[in-house]
Amino acid sequence: VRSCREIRAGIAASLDESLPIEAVFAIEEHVRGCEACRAEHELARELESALARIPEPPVDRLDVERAVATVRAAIDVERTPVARRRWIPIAIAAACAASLLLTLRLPLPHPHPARPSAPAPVLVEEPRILPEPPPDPRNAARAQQAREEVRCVLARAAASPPRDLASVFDEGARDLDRAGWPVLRLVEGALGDPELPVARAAVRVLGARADRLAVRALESAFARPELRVDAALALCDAGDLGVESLEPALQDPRTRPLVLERLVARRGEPTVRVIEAFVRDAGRLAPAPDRSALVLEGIDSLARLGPDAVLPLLRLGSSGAIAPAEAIDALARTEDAGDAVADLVLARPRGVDDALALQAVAALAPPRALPLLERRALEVREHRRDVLDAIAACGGEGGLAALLRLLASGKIAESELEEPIAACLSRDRDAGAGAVQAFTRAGRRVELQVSHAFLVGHAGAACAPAFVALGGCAMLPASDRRWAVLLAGEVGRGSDAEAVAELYASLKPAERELRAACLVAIRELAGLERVERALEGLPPRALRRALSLLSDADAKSRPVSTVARLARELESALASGTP
Amino acid sequence: MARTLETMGEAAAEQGLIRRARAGDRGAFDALVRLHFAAVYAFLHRMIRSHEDAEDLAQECFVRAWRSLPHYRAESAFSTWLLRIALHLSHDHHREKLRRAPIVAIEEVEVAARAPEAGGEGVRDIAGAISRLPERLRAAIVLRALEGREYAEIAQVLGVKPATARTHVMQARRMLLRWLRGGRADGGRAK
Repeated sequence: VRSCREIRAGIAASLDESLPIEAVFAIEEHVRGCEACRAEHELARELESALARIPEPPVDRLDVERAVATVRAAIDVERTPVARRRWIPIAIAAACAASLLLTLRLPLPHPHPARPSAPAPVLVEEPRILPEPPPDPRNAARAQQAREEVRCVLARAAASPPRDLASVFDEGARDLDRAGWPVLRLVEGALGDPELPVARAAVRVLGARADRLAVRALESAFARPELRVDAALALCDAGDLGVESLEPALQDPRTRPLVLERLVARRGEPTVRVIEAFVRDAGRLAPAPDRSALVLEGIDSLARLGPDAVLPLLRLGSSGAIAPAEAIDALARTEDAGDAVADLVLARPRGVDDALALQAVAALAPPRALPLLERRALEVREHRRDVLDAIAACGGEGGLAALLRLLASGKIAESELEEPIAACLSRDRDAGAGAVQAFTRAGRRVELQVSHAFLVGHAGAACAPAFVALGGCAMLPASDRRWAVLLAGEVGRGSDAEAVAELYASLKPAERELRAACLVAIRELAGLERVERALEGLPPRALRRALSLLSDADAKSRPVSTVARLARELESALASGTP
Repeated sequence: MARTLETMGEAAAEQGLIRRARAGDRGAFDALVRLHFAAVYAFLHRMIRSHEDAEDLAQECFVRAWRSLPHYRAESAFSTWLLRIALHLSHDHHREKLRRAPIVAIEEVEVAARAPEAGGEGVRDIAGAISRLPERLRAAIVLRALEGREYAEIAQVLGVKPATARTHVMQARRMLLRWLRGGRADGGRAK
């Protein structure tokens, strides 16, 4: 028994849901008999009610994109944190280098001055390399000689296996390179060689050792039909610069399959960009008969790029270059796309239609998306219905638990959640039981109460397993548990009888009303024979009495409240013995 | 187990954005702004009760966050860290207001609250009463009663121990109860 002072001190805390349930009950019991404390309790409730009525901040008036732009503009005038951090080690290194140089170069003070004639000690022998004078390109004879030499080396390299071609060429052209000749420029000159093997070797060398000028030369080589395939493949090998120049090669039906294959193997950001541009252009510009085949070819290639393909596919679906369904279908075929799709729930990148991204989440239903979707549903009203549908699509115990948590938060209207919860339950009846058990394990009393109230209001066959689980939940009041079990009997299927029988067997003898409700539910679901099996071990007289009560012809047509009365009558039958 | 994994997934996604933002990726920081702007704004709005000021301060909060990103050690959730910055900004804003105009003393909350501010139908301006609470208590009650945050998180935002955060919430509730009792007594007298 607590004093009024203790009770009053606890009243504010009791509404905070931070007190143990026993303490809350103690306070409620005290205020029933103490007028002064009851007034205090009502006042506290009034405060909670007033707090709950405070209007939400006008988040819908926010222009988040404008805010992002303003923040970006403000930080643009500052140094980036990374830049600042990078200067620190550079500055330290510079200071160390300077001090080391000073230490090495400056003569240290010596107690005995050195003889003036003695030479200064040489600490490091510096190599004396005198550069050769660069070859004079105006010397036509020498230039011609160098071109011939490059041509010979290319001809030799052309005979070697393709994998070794570039290294064989490097070996052969080493002297020219050392002499200062611009070897790659000489190789570019060999692209027009009448001997096809030499020209093809030149293409491959340029692909393997490409710089910006070499890429330009390869683009020109692509115009020569006999070099087209080699030039396209060389551009694929020529780093990001080469990949950026592959548009003509992707338009050409002879080179397209090879280039796409090579790009998929290569991966990387430029690859994704180039294929995305190809699909976009194909969808927009290609003539009608070819369009769908080209687009499909590009989409298939993107889908093989794994998580990197997620953003481009959604961008293409958002811009209308491909149908949204095509984008989602491709994502479903993309390996490991789930996590990348989940990231989009909160990141909401530019160029991606939010609704499409949420549809993709719903289609792929990655487990990681659930907490992100739940948070998104609470924080952003935009596309909330799509978010809730995506949660329902994730389904299972986790999806349903998330929807019920949102319901319990009180921040989303029940009407908004009805359909997603129904969809979740109709897809997986056991999800209800799983969600209830998860709440029970986590001690989430509010969620359990809200779930009970919602399911009672929307009782259907899919709710039966959840009702059985609620019946077994010791955190709920006995009357709520009894109602849940009786409703399971009313709306459930025959197969639910086993779960109810398991619940019956797990109950303590003292929980007679609940046990009786279980028997009524088993009778409703699977008939008297199953009840008889559940009551195995009961003394014959008590068993006969229980079965007679349960076999009452009117019982089936009675409403649930009548069945509850029947459950109470069963108590006396069961009191004489416990199976 | 499932909850733990879900939380880990969410945290991993956000940590990825934070890591990229720390490496200078403005796009990732933009994503973080999009992600948390509404929550920061809502907190500031509840603290200072002005749309324009809350929006400005929320933007300033993210500018400061960018500046301090190298010092963010992930000892608390990123959202909590942002709320901590927002709370400092709200304090600064409050101090600035104090400098400009005198406001009702903290001890006079009860007395001031008895004034018929909201009028009609006996509806009291509870939000007004909250705004006159001491800053720490106001932040605590906002985070707990209006935003439903856990005490551990409130403690991190306020820079106190969870037990102290709980005490702040209790004190705020008691002050608001006193205010409510005063209003009722006045109402009774009026009748």
